[in-house]
Amino acid sequence: MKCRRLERKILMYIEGNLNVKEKEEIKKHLDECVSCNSLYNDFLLILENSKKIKIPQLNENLLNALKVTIEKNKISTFSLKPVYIAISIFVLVFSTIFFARIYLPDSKKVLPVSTGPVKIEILNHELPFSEDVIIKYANYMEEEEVEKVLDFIFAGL
Amino acid sequence: MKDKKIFEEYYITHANKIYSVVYRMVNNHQDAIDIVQEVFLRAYKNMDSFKGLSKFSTYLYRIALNLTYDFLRKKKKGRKIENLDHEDFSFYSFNTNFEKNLYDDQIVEDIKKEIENLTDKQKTIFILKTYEELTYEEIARILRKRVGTIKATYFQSLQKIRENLKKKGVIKNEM
Repeated sequence: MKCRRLERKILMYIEGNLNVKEKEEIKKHLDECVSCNSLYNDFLLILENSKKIKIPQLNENLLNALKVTIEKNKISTFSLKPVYIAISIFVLVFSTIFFARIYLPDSKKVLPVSTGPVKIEILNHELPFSEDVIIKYANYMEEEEVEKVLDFIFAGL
Repeated sequence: MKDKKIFEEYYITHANKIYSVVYRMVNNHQDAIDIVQEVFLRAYKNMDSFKGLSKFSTYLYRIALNLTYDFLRKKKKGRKIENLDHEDFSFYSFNTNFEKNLYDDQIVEDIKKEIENLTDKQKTIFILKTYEELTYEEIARILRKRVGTIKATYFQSLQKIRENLKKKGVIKNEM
């Protein structure tokens, strides 16, 4: 058995994390190999003595002091979490689109802003209104309405 | 009010464990208290996210270790962690002679020094495994590392302590 491969298993052996077969294998090897036996004993020594290192106790007053700090600084448990931010953005965008579709006029009905005055060419026909008057009013009409007016005029001719 | 009650329960369950890890990392009671205080203030602020979660301790360990690393980094640069306008805990009694005459056995003192000589990462893993008795999987989750890395680092830490103790003649070389 190669010692190098076994070294890690010695630690698992100490921790009791090996199956029965592996445990037997290591136990047998430790009886035979001085180097691995030394490693095993040293690790045991280090771990057992490490646990003897004492630390001070946490002072019970810390909890009260924390409560005072929370109260004094008015610290809140509320915080903007990414998921709430994402939901808020979604609702905002969705509602904007929804209301825009209801209240904005259909884009097909909107006259292009830069179309300029509507040019009306009427050939060989005598109109009941002068061309200036028709063009003046036609400029305030939407395209479809202009067509309707023209149809009405031509129908009467 | 309800939040404060839950917070108190969290504190009672986890404070000693967090303090233990932080103290072993920074080796100073007052510094450890400052860090633990900051850990629980942060936990309080984010408590809504963790209500009912069984692995609240993972989150606490993670904050505690990040704050500890920050503290150690600043300390190495000769600066101390900022006091974020928190309560002054210095009035709480603490025996500053705690360390004196604590160990009858010299080997415990020698091992303690060798643990202090480990790198921050090695020390963290050694503390979480040896004292907190966490599994490799739990440590891997806290440190966001692979289990294999944690196992290897723990083994290296023990090897390093052993080699240094050998050099000092505290433990004997194999015959």
